[in-house]
Amino acid sequence: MEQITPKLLEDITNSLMLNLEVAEYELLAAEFAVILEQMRLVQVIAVDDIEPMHYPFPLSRHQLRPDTSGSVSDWQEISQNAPLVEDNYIVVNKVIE
Amino acid sequence: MKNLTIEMLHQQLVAKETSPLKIVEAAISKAKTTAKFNAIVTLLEKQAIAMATELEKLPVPTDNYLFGIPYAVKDNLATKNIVTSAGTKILANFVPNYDSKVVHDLNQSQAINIAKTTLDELGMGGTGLDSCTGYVYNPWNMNHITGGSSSGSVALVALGVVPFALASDTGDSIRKPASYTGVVGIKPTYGIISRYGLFPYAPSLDTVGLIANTVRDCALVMDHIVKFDANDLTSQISNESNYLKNLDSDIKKYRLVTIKAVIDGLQADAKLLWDQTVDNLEKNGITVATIDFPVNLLKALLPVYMVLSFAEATSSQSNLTATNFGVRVSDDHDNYHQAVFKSRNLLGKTVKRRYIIGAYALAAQNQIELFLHSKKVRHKIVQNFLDIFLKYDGLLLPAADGPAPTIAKTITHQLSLDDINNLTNDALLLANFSGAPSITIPIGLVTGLPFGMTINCLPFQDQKLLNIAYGIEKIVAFKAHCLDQGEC
Repeated sequence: MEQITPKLLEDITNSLMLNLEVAEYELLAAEFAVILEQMRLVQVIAVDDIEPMHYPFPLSRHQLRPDTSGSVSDWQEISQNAPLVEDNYIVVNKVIE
Repeated sequence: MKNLTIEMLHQQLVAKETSPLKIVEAAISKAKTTAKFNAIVTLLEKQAIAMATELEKLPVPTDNYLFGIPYAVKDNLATKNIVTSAGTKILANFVPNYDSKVVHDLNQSQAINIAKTTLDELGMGGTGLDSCTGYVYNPWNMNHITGGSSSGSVALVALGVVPFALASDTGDSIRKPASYTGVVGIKPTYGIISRYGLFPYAPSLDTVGLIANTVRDCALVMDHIVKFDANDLTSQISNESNYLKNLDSDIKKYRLVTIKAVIDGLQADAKLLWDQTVDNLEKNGITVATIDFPVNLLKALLPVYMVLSFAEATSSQSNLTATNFGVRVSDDHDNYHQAVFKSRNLLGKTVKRRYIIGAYALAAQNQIELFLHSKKVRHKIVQNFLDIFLKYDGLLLPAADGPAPTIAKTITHQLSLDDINNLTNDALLLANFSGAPSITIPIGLVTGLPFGMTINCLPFQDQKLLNIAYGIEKIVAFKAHCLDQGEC
């Protein structure tokens, strides 16, 4: 496991597009120390020949079906919840330069 | 309306002693007089009155217990044309254009949604103190927490505002708060109630469930909402039906068991109540065996849960960027990164920390040691859990190590290594890891606060779970005891 350093925490925080205050970094570092210590205890649990459990049950309840085209949502219903609508389009402010 | 069950209200409706409008008006009035508990984020007065008025024109169907019955919905379940904010500022303006499947089914059954309820932000927290709209206070004592994340839903049922409420459970979010507030809370088998429209926290664990006053009411509501749903890729088919009709309180035939290490961790007063309850069961001809469970696996519950659920949250909630939806905080000259950074600053501190821990667990350098290993340990825990049911029908666990702690104590608590040595507080995770059905029922008072027992069965044995809970509920007679003592 990667060692927890202030630089690493800052990198992860940035990659998630989050800002933390200094006090939050301190609390986070303390929590990490506890979790990693707890995880070290978990690491010694033997799991040879045990498959990872992704979900409680196999996800086999769904049958594939042919694609069918159709409108599932009514424009009026969708647009009434949009903050701004113009000429039958939902207006989304530009965020990419 | 306090302590009135769905069945009682239905009988009054059938006997024409009341009407849908009167019931809804009473519920809304009570919601307003109990506003100080902060259980509601959106009161749906106009919509509820309008629907109740429509139902006034119809005859009361004797076979539909939910006709005209008010209920509440945890605010992480989508409701059409009603703000669904999941307790986070970044979704404060989010208005879905669809109902979650479970809400749709209840509305089809002519139940009346009167409120969206407060929750810990995005389902994360476990205390009822982590919503962007403030603390939820325990109806029994405002100095104490309700638990979470389904804090508003349990509080509204405990206060008697509604006879039932929808909720969700990822770690213990229905069952522990139910214990803290003296109501019944059920997390059915994973996937038998659709998750369509539930804002995800950790999809491999998230389960829709409900809060009510009695086990019978839980069975009754489940008859309306346990359905396979093609829109939920994790939806499961239950071969059971007619839960209410098949409810049977004769439980002497069942072999019940508890785990010694979990019981040993109870606080002294709670241990006393637990022992009295087990004695009471045995006097009624029900044997409760005690077994050991590998302590290293019990100690692994909390860290494995943190790694898996935080990692899943980091991924499943990565769309909260306020780009396509949500509250965008930006100036005109901001570029994409600046806008997203500013907007995501609306997320709460607990949520941010969990994302960071989750991202660490998912990083390529740590994934095998942390994420993958945790999934394998989860499997090992589940194998041991399922083995219990080779010999036994139901596993009885305390819902927590004691009654609801104070708010003052909770806000100063920090995660510590000692937390994993508390083998009682995290035992409810066994049902989330395995997908097993699990229900908390109140068994008495500890220092004037309610305390609950959680019953667990094999996955897809929800009827057996309800039957065991029903049998124990009758023997314990918590509500009757409270009323006798003038305590509830």
